[in-house]
Amino acid sequence: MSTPAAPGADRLKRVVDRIQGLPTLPAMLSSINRLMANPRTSAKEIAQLISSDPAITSKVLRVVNSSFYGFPNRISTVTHAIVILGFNTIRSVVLSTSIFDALRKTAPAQGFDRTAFWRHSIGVGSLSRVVARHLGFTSLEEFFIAGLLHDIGKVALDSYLPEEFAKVVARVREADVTMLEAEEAVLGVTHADVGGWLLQKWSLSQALVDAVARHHNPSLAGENMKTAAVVHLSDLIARALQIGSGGDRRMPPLSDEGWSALGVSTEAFPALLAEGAEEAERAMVFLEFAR
Amino acid sequence: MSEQPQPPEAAKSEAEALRHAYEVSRFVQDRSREIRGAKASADIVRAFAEAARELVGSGGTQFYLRDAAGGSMVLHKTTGDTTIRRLGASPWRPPKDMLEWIAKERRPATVPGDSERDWHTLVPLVVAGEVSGILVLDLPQGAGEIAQQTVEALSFLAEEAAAAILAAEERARLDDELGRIDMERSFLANILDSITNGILVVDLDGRILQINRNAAAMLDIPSLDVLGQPFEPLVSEHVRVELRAIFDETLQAGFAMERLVTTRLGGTEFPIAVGSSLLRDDALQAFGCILVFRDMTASREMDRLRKLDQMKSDFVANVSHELRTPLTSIKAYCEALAGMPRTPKEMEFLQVIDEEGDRLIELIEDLLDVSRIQSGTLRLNLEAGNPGELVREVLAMPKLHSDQHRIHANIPADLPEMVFDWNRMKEVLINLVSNAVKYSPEGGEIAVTLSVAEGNLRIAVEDHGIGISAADQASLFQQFFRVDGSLTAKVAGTGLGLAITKGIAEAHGGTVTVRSEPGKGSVFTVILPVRKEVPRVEAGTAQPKFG
Repeated sequence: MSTPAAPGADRLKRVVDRIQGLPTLPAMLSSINRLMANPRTSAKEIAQLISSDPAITSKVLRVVNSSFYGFPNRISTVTHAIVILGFNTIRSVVLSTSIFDALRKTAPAQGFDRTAFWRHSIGVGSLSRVVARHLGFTSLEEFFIAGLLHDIGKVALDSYLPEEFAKVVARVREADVTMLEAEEAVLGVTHADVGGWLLQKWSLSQALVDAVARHHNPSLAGENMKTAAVVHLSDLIARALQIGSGGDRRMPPLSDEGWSALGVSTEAFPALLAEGAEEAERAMVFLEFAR
Repeated sequence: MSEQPQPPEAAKSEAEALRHAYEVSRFVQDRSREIRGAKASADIVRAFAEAARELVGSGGTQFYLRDAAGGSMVLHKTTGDTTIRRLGASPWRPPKDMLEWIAKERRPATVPGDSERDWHTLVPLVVAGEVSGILVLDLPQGAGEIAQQTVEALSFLAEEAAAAILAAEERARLDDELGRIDMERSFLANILDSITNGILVVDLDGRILQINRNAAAMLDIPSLDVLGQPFEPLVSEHVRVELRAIFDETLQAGFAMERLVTTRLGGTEFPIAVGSSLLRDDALQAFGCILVFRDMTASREMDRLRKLDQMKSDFVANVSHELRTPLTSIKAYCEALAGMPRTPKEMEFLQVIDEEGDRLIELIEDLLDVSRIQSGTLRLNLEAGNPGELVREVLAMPKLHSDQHRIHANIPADLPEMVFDWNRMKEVLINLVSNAVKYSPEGGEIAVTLSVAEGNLRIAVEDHGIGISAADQASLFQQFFRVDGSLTAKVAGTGLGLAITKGIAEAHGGTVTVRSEPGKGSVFTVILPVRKEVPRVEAGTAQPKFG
């Protein structure tokens, strides 16, 4: 696994070395991953594992029965949920609820609205899913997670380097710059770098790591450029649609290379926006896990 | 995936898993090749159903397609066995909202059917971002037992099948379309080849885009296989110059006036009229020129016949005049001879000469009238008069009297005065009454009835004679027409009377009609508009008959 941002690696190391006591993801996730690595694992086996945690079970059932997935009938068991929505979907539901759980415990700093932040994150997650579906990708859940976590570096900074982050937030407010620019100025690293680092620490896939670390500059994401570009585009769409807030008002620039790599047709774009706005609204079911 | 060293048992099971995964992937590869190799959608569905049966023991498939209007999903075909269901139970069909959910998700999903043990995998068929169909696979076992890998293999094969089916349907649609286009093309080609005109379509560089058989024949181009070739080298020097001029003119002005070009085919010259127009595409951009060739040989023949007809009419008019002059002399000398002392025998002969002379003069007058009517130079001498008096005068004429016939006139007292040519109308009445007498050999009643209705004078001459068949009525008023038959053969006549009658009536702005039934008699009706004044002579020849 390569580390992101080779030139800024030293600066990043200096910053993240100060981040202590990071929350960990539940052991269940790695168990699920281990089970799913075996292609002969059945839905029942994974369901048994998930059902061993009643809190996660009830969250999973709440999410799979939400309008976000929109299944016409009620899904009453985790087994059914896995069969109907797919192994990957359930894994991503467990992953996202676990991440919300892990980050919920941290205290927010002044001037950084966590609810607006999560609205934005969930919006970008569901928009990434819509864009990816539109482009014919099949692993939609990975796109949802990537979008959901794209700004997670901000939460990490907010929770573990609150003083510096408060300076960043103040600078954004006073100097009318993007958060990215403020972070560069104050910390010398960005939330994207920190987010990528965090995901790597959580042993999430390289595609997720690259998508998060490069969501402002997809051209640098190498083989995961398209995933990063989807998140990048969805971030801008969410800002345009004013879904939540990433903490700043200024629109970061659109990456030309990222845009052309996706090949989204301008004719299809309005329909994509409408579908995305609708689906983002339905995805707000995840918001309750962030509280 | 874990990177730590594996305990031996886990390694063993991992090796086992890998081997199994390899087998499944081989199976999937083989089957997907088979599925993609099938041409018809029925064969594709069968190949997929067989693969699915080997994977999960299933057989039943249903195949939904979105209806043509882009509305709801419609069951297109089903295959395979449904033995897995309880006897008598009707097969599960996905509800509409389930189909729409899959269409929206755009990914395969396995959904419950009627019971815990009844599951179905639904696979959307995505074409160009749109879900145009859904493949449904019945699963025979509780879905919970199905391994992730099996679901993935099934989904993969189903997607392969879906793509293959769509390709097959598209192929079938294209075949249909091609057939239709072929039909349309041969239809157009048939029109082009059946049309009597020659048609040559060339692009802006003068290359042949289309040519029909007649154009090839008229231009003496031996083969129709000349598409793409410049037309100029294919035609004779003389024609090339003419066509080039027309072509250039068309490109400049958008069209060219039709002009006559003479072509030479096997030593014979043919006159051809060439017209042209610009060929434009949908955006009205000119991209060629259409040349239309009309064989003028036929038109020339018509011209020749028209001239001949004219010559004939002139000839008749001239000869009639020439005949009348000597006849007038003969009549005069006859009268002179009759005034001298003669034996009764000589007087008898002179009378015959005089009477035959009268008949000849009448015939010549008729011929002259006909030729005047034909050439439109019949002059009417219009004066005010009472048509009732005209009828009385005609009926008083001795030559119309017959012992066998009773002729009576119905003349209303209040007939209006009107303008007409007294002598011509007298001629008409004589014609009609004498016909009535001639063609009722058994004798009987002949009625001449006058009436005025809707501003028209009607003169009806009714007999109870032999009548005229419907077929003969049609040509009755043509010159020289005489009804065939043993009776008519005995009756003298030139076949000019009714033609003249019609001509005179029409010169008055009226008509003659006939109503007749063979064996019962005929009614000839002359209808004339009642005019109180002599119409003013219009400038030019707008109303030449009222001179």
